[in-house]
Amino acid sequence: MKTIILKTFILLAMTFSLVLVALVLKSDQYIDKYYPKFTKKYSSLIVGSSRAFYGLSPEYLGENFLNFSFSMLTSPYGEIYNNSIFNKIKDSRENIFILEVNPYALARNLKNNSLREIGGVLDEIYDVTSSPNLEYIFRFYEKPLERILSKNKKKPKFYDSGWMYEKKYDFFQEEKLDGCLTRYEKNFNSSRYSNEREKALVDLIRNLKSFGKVILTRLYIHNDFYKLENKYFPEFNQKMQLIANKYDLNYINFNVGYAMGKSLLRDCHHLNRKGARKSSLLLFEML
Amino acid sequence: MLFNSLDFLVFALVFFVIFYNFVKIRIPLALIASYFFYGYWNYYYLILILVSSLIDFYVAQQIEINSDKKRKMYLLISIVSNLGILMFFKYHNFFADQMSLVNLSIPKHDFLLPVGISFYTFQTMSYSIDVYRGDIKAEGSFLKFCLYVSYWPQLVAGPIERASHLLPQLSFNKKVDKNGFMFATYKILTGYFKKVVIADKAAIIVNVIFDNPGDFSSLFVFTGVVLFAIQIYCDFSGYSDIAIGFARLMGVELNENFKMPYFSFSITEFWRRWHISLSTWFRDYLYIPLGGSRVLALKTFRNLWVTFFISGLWHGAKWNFVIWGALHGIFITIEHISKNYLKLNLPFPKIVKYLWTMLIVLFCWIFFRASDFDNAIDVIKNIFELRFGGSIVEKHRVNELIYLCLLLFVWDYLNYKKIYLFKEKIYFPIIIVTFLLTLLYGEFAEKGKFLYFQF
Repeated sequence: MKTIILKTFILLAMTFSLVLVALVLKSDQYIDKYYPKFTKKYSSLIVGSSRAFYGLSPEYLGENFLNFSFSMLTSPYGEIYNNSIFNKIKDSRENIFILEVNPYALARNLKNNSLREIGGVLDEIYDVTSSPNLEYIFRFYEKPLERILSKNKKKPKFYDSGWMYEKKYDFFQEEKLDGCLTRYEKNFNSSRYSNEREKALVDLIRNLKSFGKVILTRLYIHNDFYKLENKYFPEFNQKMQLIANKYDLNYINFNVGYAMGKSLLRDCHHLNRKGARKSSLLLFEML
Repeated sequence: MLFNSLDFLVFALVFFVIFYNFVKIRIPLALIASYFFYGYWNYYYLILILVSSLIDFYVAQQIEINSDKKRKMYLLISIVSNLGILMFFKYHNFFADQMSLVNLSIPKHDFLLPVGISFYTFQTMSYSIDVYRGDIKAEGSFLKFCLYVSYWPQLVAGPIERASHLLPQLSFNKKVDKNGFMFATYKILTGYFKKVVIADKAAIIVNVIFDNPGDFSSLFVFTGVVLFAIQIYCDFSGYSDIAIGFARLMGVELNENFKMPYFSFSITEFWRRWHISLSTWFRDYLYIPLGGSRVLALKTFRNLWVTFFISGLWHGAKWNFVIWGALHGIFITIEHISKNYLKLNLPFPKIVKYLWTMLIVLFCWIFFRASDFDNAIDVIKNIFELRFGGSIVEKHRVNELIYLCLLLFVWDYLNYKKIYLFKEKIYFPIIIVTFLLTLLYGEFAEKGKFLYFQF
């Protein structure tokens, strides 16, 4: 009986090991859009929501940068995101951190008591700096492992920097604007500016300042969307400016006083490749 | 603890290492492990299991030593307390919602629904009833009884085991031989295959279709319903297979809960093959005590209908579950009338009977899966509108699913025809292939809870 248990165990372990080795060998290719954000420590980070994910490219900021921003759902400002950020930083005094802010990233749902990032990848993952990151592949890769093993998917050009653009969605469609505004108005309606999230942002700034320079930025969005945000969160810019003044940072709002336009958008509140290039270069000049 | 989580695999590994090496402490070990398994989700709710165990242990002892009148009273205590716990945690808010419709205000509570509460309350209740009926003797060991109530492989999603079958096995006297071990491994792996490969893959598509049925062609919405039928079968029978496998590793034989239900040629047959432990529970403790089919025709129909209505309600405190149960009750009554009273024996070919049965089953599943009644009607409307075009989601996953479902279908069909491929000579190849397929095609991203936990 012991032999049969041992034999089964060894055979299953061997099969598993083979799959594991194959995965390690293939982990250098394209896995998914979030994977490269979890593979090593970086000295400089772009932090924020999907607006920063699409709208700020390390390509134009310098090779030490990683775009460590995710989505409105996964990475609003809070303790969970802060912890992940601290685990990603290389210990140095010369780092640069670009913190993208927007009202929804600092808001909480009025009806739901629990934080929306709970249960998300940043809340659940332990290891954010291993390459290959098998924890990510086994627990958060949303497709079967066979997809990694069976294809030789070339990495997109900017993949390793954590930034991505999708060619087929890279232009603004006016007809989708109303739908987008309605959808977000619903979200804004059931949210309020959160002092807890603001406190987390302030904590983050205070801590990051000991590692280097910090910049706050509100990226360009469609004018109608900007009006909508200001309607529900009228004091947002003021609050950000106050924080910036208090901690001696720059707060750059690309929606006021910058020559931007619809041609830089991929949808009502995300920049396209051109938009990312423009805002990244503008920020680079300020650095 | 979820069977498809890393935490569980570590738990199982540690448990079996101790279980095989310390024969004398197997009962307390299994009990501690069971409480840990449940408490890992929420320790506070262990109190409920303990209370339920305490009451039924005491009640059964009293039933055995007391006279007729007192026996009845003790049985009543067991039924009222078990149903009371169930009613409070599972149905109270639903009841309060219904009362608010007639302007009666009943305060609601915020307690979480304890995982698997319907399973273990039914299991404990059946024990007291069996002792009352004299079918079994009251268990003398409190430890063993607690283990019967909380036995971890089947605690949260069944199969619901009868005391006469499970309790004697919980002394763990039976040795696990080579065939038993290989069968257990095979059951566990096929269970995981059904769950993480098929059910979870199907769930991704089903969720999108049921959330927005209007976005898809009628054929694709219908495909969504078929996929849900596959999803719920693989999810639930997958859980049962894993439970049976782990129990078998301890030398315990749990009852089969599914016998290829989608190879049924009538609704009556479907219920003989689907969630067998629940349908036999309702048969023995509700349908037959109500009079079963040995009463006047109208009463028989009432009994059938009441049984299925309550079976629907057992699944959840929502009207769509009730409608699902009631629909099955109606169709089974129609079958009963045509077979036993009208003596209709229509010469339909088997394939027609099969397709008719499956269409009814699928139709009923729509109510089971839909988020509410309006959503169910929306899905039905979108199927019958016969709309073409629309978007297609996850094409790659759909294709993969078709092949994998075909594989499962062929496997189940062979079993249905009693052609068993899992033979000694090819134990290892089958186990390795199942493991490899699960590993390569499984959906491991953390989202796949077992559907039946909510019941």
